[in-house]
Amino acid sequence: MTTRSSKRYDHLRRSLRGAPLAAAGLLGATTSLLVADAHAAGFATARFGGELGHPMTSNPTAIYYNPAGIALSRGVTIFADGTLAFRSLSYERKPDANAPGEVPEPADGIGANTGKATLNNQIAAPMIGATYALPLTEKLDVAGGLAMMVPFGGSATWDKNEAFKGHPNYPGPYDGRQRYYTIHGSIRSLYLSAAAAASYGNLLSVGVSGGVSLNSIDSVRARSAAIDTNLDTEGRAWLKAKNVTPQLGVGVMLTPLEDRDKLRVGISYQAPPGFGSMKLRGLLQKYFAGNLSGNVAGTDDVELHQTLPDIVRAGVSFRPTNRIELRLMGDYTRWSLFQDQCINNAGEPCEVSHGDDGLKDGQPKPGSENATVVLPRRFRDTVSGRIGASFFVRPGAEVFGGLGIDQHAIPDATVEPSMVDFNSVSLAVGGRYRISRHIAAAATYTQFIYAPRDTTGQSKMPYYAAPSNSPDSGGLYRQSIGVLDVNLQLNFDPAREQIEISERRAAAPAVL
Amino acid sequence: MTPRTIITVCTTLSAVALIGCPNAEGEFEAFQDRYDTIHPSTTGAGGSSACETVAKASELDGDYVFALSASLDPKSPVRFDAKVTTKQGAKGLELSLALQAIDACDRKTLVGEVFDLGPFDVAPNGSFTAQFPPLEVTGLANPFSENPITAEVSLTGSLCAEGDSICGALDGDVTKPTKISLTGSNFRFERLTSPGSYPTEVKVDCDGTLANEKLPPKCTK
Repeated sequence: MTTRSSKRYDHLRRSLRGAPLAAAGLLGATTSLLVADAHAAGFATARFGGELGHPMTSNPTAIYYNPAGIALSRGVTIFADGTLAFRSLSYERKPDANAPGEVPEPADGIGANTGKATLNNQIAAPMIGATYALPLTEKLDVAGGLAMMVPFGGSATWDKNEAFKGHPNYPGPYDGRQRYYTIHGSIRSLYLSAAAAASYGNLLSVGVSGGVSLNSIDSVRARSAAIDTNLDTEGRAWLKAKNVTPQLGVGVMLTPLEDRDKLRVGISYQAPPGFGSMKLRGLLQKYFAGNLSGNVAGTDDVELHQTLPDIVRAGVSFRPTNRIELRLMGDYTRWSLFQDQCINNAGEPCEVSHGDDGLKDGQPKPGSENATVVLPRRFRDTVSGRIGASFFVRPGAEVFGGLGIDQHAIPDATVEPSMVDFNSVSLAVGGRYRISRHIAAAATYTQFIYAPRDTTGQSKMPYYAAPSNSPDSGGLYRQSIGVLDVNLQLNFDPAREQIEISERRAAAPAVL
Repeated sequence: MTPRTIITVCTTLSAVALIGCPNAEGEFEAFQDRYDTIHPSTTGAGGSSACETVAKASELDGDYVFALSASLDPKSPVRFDAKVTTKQGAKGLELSLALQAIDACDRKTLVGEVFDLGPFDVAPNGSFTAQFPPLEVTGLANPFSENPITAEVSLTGSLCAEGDSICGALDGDVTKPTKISLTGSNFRFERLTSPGSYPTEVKVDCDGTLANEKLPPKCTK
């Protein structure tokens, strides 16, 4: 089915008669993107496996958390996981009336740009993995695996401002008071990974995982050419872009005791998708409206430049008795790599000054002058920590719980409704039950408790040089997220079962 | 199963699993529908009106402020200092222009190069179409950002004897920093009382619509 926008795009392409589609960046106006749905810092969302997904695990989630772990599994393991997040977020926009671009609400537009915006969303993400491990020699075990997961991403659909439904003068405010940053949007990095691992001498395991990351962004926001909040000239910008990049993770696991489940120390490193700056290529469509003239719409062939973080994870699990396991883990995420999201014509560089080189903060560097829009992120590195414990009620039945803390990655200056992050505490409870010899099911519910953030008067967004500026994003942010993770694990060991069959046959009395 | 098939299947699987999946494109189109309902087609508004009396050679000569009012934000025009010259050519009246951009923030300093344009033919009824070559305008004159602008525009208007202005419709495209259609845009030349004394209130079209008096956001940081 051909949509209205795609028809328009086709028309524009034809009208350009093959000329290079000029990039994003209309006299400074353009789009934004992204809607983060962070379960952890930034917009990291890796919660697959629930409380049992961590850098000491041996189930297939280890392909992401610590690939060395799969060498500690046995036989074939197939793992299907679903994460369902229930998210509510509110943003009470309280802009500085004197901030650049802040246009007072007209008498018939009171409440269009100030006040509360809300969303209540449910978001699901699957993770599927399979591993196969077997002893190669008496001292050497090897394993391989495949998995698909979504470690970064989120999506958001904001509630409408019903007071402006069918408004006779202003078509924009119906999309909510957060619309200058996001109306609808999603961002996602989907990993397709293969992993290999080896365990030597019942002591040391090493593993590596790698594959591709399918990265995508699809987002629409309000925008005007002057990058202000004038209801009369409000338009829309829609970005849809994607790319495929390589991704890589490595890990080490120490199991110093004879029982490899008794004490595990794991550490892993997950490289940034694309190993550095990545470029997502796509379309930028704009719709800018004027009082006196007709509509102007445009489509560009653009690239979004960004760098996602790398992550170091470490943890230790210990079983003081056969019935109890204690876990301590944490991660360091180098979110400081995520400084700006920069959109420019496809094929052109997109670098932005941070004001330390004689240029204005947010101003494109020489060679990047055609940048259409820059979204300053200026994230900071984060540290997260978690403690957990399992109690084995009986063989095959386990209950567990956990407590975690997450540090926010986004400074007050650049927090905005499409990129919200909080310091948080999370509480998790769950259980795992072996349904049969080969099948086990587990579920974890995690409640994230976020400290509200009031960034009124702190937003730096209007003060960056064009095209990095946006309307004031200051205000009061509140969020609550509950995450339900359920998974099913199928495990069987053909080699061991063959041995068992042989042993039973050998032990059985001869019939004939 | 090929790698491409695997990727497609995985992407689809992941997408299907999204509950309440956002539809950015749908929202983009819904806004257009709402806008079109409120503002039924107004393309070409502000076009020039017919002349009762066509101007004579040299009658309109002088110094003007030229407002190029792009349809995407009509009240934030690019401003130019303009010297208008008309003379009688072999085929009739001819219009020549010398334009130089005005700083968007102080609205008085001339910036960038001078564009000498024309002569353009003026029809016996006073109407003219002036097809400009690509104009590269310094970012200092851009009311929206620091980006320099390249535009290919044509002016369609009339040289009328009465009044101290020339106005009409402007068409064409901005080609840099991005491709933007200017269809539905307007222009207006307003005579200056003295060279270099630009009015605080600038009109942007034949209806006399005033430009924003407030400085653009880029000037207030």
